[in-house]
Amino acid sequence: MSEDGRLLKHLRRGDRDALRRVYEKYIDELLAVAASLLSRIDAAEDCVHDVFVDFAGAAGSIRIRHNLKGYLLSCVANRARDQLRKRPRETNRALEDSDYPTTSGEPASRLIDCEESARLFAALAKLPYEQREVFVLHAQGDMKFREIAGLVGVSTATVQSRYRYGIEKLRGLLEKENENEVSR
Amino acid sequence: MKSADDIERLARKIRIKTGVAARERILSDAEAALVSTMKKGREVLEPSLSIWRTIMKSKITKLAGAAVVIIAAFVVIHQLGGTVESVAFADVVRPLLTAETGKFKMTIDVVAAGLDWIDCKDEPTQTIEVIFAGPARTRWDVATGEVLVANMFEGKVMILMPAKKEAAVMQVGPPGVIPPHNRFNKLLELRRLIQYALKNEDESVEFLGRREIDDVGALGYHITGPQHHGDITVWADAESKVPIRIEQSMAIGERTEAAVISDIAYDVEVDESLFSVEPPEGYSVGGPESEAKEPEFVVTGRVTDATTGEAIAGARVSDDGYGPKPYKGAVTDADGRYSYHTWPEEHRIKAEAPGYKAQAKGLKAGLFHTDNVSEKQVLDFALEPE
Repeated sequence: MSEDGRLLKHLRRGDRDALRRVYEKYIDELLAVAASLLSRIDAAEDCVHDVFVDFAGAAGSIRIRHNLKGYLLSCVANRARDQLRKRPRETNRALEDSDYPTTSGEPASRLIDCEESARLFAALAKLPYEQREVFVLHAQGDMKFREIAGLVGVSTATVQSRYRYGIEKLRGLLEKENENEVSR
Repeated sequence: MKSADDIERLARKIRIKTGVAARERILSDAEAALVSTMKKGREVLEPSLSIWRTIMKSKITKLAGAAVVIIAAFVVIHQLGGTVESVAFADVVRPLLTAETGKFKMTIDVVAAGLDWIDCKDEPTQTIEVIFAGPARTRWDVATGEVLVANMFEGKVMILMPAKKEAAVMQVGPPGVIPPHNRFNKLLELRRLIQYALKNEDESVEFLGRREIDDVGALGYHITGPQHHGDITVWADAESKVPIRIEQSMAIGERTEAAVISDIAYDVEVDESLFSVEPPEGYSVGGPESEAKEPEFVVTGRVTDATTGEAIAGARVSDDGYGPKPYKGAVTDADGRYSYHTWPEEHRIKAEAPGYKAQAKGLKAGLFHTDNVSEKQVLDFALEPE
């Protein structure tokens, strides 16, 4: 049995250490994915918070035996989509206009270690959500296209083409930014 | 210029520096949730909602949905079997059209589609013994013990849960009226489909040849057609040409339901008492009337004049004969808007206003997605003047 399988088994019985281990194992990745999806760090924290609390609250009944990470990622993706739907439009627009999504005014570069990754993070906010979702879940979350298709409810081919468009757009955005920097 | 690989590599490196406080809050709240869920024990798995809600969310109700399609398949198969094997269609379907009673076994497997991490084995195969008597009465005996009886002579549906000694009786319509769309008895639908099948013979059929099924020589047909949400394979008795086994898989949301009908018998003797909608002695009776909790699902929208587009104030929008009486509903304001709380289950909502034709629309509140029910649905109505 995989480590996750064992953890889930313990978790079903209410083992807090198992919960802690799941948390330690996946928290960074889930936060990163949520932040990329939502373009905001405070929103990402809320999202992952809710996912974990729901996960723990349903510990007795969760029907997963393997791929716990895939399960948690899909919960994050579902919740992120819900959050964005509820978010007032102005907020979204404000985000699209700003180069660096922030929480309490801090630029992304100060919240993300690698400067290049921070730039990518900022560029992601400018991607249409459908493409962003696919890109983040595949590139960051290591989810298979087929799994994403099942989650999003579209065909694998659609997921792949969203991914292609997404990555092309990101390349364009990052390149434009480089040019701007050179000309500065 | 960065390559796609570079971008993917960068993406993997995105790590967020969140504050310790935020992380601790996540862990401590999750721990609290774990502790409280364990305290409640198995109650958490089966929340003690009132029986009405339990019914609407129970497998049996969902399975009723599955039964629609499979029984629909039943008919088309008869028709196709007839075509391919040159057996007169009318002869083959006659038992279906004329049978006063019948029995079959239905097994349903639910498989999550495309989602590897859901453990399908945890969702047990459902086996249901179905008995019908005319279009008005059906009884389902689920292997897990639940029983469903739909008796349209009385306009009632009863569900028994022997494990809890609980019964629920719902008045689903006026006594003696057999509604054209009756979730629990699809015989009428079936008969209508036969008429349809007689007119449309353009389905694609693949003859699979002969095989032994339960020691009976059977002829197999594989059918794919736009009308079905999945493939159907039918095995008919090589001698009598009557279907003895029907296999079908269909996608419902993110799940695939694989259903098999077997052990089919027509014009069997049935005990009238099987269709009684009086709860047996010793059962506690719940039902819509005993629902204490008000629904939280919101249906909202606007009612307008279809010709002028103007708002209709004072229009009545309400659940179309669904749930306990009085039916939930609301009256539109000056701007034609309405909003009210209703049952988070699939049912029809109708809009009426003096001088206009009434209109009904289906509320799709995720009958098949109970884990992921949204809290609101918008339904707008454009009413035609009378």
